[in-house]
Amino acid sequence: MSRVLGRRFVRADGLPKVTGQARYAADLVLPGMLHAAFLHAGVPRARIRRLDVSAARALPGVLAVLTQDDVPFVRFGAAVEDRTLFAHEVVRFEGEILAAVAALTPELADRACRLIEVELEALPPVLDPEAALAPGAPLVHEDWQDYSANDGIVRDGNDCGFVNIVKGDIEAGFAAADEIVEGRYVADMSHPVPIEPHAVLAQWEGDRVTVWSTTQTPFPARNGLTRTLELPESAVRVVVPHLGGGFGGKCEFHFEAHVAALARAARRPVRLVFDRRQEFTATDMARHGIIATFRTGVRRDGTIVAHEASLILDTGAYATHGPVITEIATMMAAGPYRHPNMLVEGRTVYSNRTPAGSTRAPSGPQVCWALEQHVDAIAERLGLDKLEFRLRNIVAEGDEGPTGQRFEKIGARESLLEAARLIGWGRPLPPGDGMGLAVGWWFSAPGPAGCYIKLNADGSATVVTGAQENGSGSVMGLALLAAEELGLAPERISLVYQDTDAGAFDSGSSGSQTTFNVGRAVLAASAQIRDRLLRMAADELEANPLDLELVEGVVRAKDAPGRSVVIAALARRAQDDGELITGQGNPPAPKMPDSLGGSCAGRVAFPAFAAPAFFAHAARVRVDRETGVVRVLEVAAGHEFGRVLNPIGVEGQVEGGIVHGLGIALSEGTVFRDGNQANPHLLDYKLQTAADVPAMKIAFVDAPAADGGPYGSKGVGEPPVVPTAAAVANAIAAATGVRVRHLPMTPVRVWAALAGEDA
Amino acid sequence: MIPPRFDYARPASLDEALQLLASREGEAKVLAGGFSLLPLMKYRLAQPGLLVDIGRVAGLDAIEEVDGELRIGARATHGAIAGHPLVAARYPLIREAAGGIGDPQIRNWGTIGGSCAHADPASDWPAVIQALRGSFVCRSLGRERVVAARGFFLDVFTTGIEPTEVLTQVRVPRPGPRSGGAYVKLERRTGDFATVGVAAQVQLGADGRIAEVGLGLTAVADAPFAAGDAEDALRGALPTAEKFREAGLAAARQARPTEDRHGPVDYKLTMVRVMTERALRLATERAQANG
Repeated sequence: MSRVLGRRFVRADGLPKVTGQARYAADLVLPGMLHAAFLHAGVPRARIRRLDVSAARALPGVLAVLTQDDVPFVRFGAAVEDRTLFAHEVVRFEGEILAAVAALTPELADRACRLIEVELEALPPVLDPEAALAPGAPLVHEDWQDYSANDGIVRDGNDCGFVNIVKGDIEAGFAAADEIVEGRYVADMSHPVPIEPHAVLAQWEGDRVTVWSTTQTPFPARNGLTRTLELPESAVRVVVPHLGGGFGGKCEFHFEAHVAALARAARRPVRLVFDRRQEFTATDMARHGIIATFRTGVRRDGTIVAHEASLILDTGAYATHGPVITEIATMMAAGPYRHPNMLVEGRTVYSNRTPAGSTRAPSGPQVCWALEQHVDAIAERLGLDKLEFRLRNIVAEGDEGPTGQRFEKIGARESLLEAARLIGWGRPLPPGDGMGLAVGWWFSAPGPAGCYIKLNADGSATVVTGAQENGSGSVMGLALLAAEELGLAPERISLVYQDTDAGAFDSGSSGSQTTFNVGRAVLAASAQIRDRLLRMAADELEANPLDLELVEGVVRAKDAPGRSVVIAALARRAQDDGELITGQGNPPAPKMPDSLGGSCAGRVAFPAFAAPAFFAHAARVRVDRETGVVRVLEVAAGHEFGRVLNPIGVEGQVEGGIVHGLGIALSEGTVFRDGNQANPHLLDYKLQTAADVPAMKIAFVDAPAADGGPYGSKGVGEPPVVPTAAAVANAIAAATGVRVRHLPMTPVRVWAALAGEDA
Repeated sequence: MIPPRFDYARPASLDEALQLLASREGEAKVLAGGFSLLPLMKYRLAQPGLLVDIGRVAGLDAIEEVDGELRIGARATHGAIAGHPLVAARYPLIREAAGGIGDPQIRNWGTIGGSCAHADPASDWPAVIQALRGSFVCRSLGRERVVAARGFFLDVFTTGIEPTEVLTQVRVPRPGPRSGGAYVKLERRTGDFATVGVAAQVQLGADGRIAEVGLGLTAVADAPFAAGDAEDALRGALPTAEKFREAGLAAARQARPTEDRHGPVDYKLTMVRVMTERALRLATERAQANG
């Protein structure tokens, strides 16, 4: 270590993206290409009485109109197979697809949709998640006992994912407490809102289809295609051109099969491009609305002795990853604190809302926002400084996690101290200002990964991977790992990625997994090339391979750098001699940490948090008490990601996460009116802009983690978005003396809280 | 998000534009920057049969002082107005409003005439021009008339402009010494449409009392309006916090907000009072400094 890692590298795809050279799915055009449009239900719950597409089919210029009758009847879904491509007999949310059209122009496709005759019998929508859990409540999925599902799923009325964590003796804990503090917090649904909307282009050649898609998960998208259209995996190729952001909203399988089916029926290439309203209403990866209640017992000295939490996640019309996310949420409801006695329960509730799923750090920001406000409230009850109270309870090496995992050396405490130091915790502030702290943790997700590297004859190299670059820079970072291993400059490494025919299976840009998993495969593949080069150079230099190193494009003697041979010369000679130098890596996934096994958590996916990242944010805000407007003046972030491989990339993720988190804190929330989204557009769904961004200070606790990925690194993409909203909430409370218990904390809600109303 | 079919014309002269409007009376709409009209068409809230794009018509974007008034060409962009030296020197209310509309992209495209003719109930200019007791020049074939801003804004997206007319100029009287103006806008985040916007123009007398005052409010009624009762309460009075509060309450009584994503009615009414007080306080400070 290190000529590449730890230094600041601008990502290779940056320049094409900012100069407009990069092409995205919606830019692609094929000869004879048709334009797709969907007819959406427009109502949250209904029985379909009639669906007549004959007038649309008869419109000149329309080449295909499809409904569920035209595709195989296959149910699919990540955790519960509860969906069909098109609405079947019933409508469960407003964005449900009733029909799809392919026509010569987008205008004709739009007109054809308007010609489809639909008769819907409206049913009262299920919208209140607590009422939906009551016995006898109307079921969103009446016959879902018959659906296939992950083995860990407990089916109970509208609850499609009950999870609990049981640790110690909760009653004994409360009995030993000097104080018991309770709190209830509610978060509205929000959205990932990538700049680029969903787009799909499909083209058939014989029995094979190529699908260019805006997916973050090309292989799960291919799985969806093969399953719903009943095709072999070898018949389907999914390619992602450059992706214009995803933030989790493009995980899993979405609209690829609709477009492929249209293209097959029309015998022409077909392209679909969503508009912003569809991006809000018809996708299925919104951030869950949650209701969180806490009851915590503490001793006067600030020791937590009992912690009880109940979470309800509104997963909308379809489960998607909901039950997995509820498992994560229960871990987040524990937080990075020592809990001798704990009972956390999570429920995943079907409703007639747009489905929720894997938006960046799913459940993290909402649950952290709720828990960390509750933690502040406990410190207030005890009369303890909020930093001090956290320091007394935060986890450290050797402590036991919520489900029994033993923590390795971790930087939870150090992150918190860094955030507090950067914000100047405890310094006097002008009236109206307030400071807040929040801590959190997040996992790295172990999974399978493969990589293939070829050394080119000029000494450059090409990395072939199935990984997906969603904009976080993690695939770009794979070139840095290969460069480090092979002694090459990063710009000498090219990448082939996000193409299911090229790379090995990859679970996609989800779970902050790319560097953690694919990085190991890159190291393994590089090692094979490296070994071959060392042996060739050893012959040439008449040296022991162990005494040689790969540096700056040459193999040289460690003790005599002048004795060297150029890598390009070795590669050229090998090829001329009939040998191609390639490497292949497919190391096994790291094991999950051991867990207690006494809880339901882990039945679906997450028994523990592997290689967890720890972090703390601190915010300073100014509250306008007359209007409820909150201005965030400063955010400080302390993060432990193990070893930081590319500081400029990690800083970008943290800055982006903070801005994203400020939106979640203050302005991003979906409003429903009778089950329909009332603000499915950027006019009334308020993202933060550059003008709203505060000063940001960032520090890393930069040390290799024993349980980390390549070079002791951990996942980076998701953690930064988790604690910002919580820090802002605590700063608002510090500035005003009141707690805002409803997310987002809009001016009206802050104003109402100041007026003594329960916002 | 595809608008219905429409015809499109881009005339080279104002007369040509006026002829098109006359020949397709009632179904033609004038297109300036397009930032407000085109989204309405995509949502099918407006379905004009013809768009008359005046983007190529010369001479509609001048900013100058003539006969003791500021004359702003209808096609002057918010950005051009905000950056104009005349405006910066003597019209703080206009500069403040222009510089706070949307974001730089919007300010570089959106126009003052387009905004006033469009009459979005939450747009900024109508409140500002009413506070300044300005007027609009409306041209049709062979006819030009000057219409007072007060009374021009009738309802949601509805003004006193005739279907055959083009709004060509905005006129504002030049404020004298001991005058000051301010535009304060409550926004959910930077560059948002106002939750409440208040424009105040204060003229102090030699005795320090309020000789004249203009108050324009936006986003809290079907059309931006002048808060006449509040103005009456202030005229002749000393500029005190109590008086400003009284004016704020009077403005709130005149407001007719509706509940939407910006907030419920009681919040908005309170914000009318708060923002009116703030606008008056700031305008008065500027008037006092403008001795």
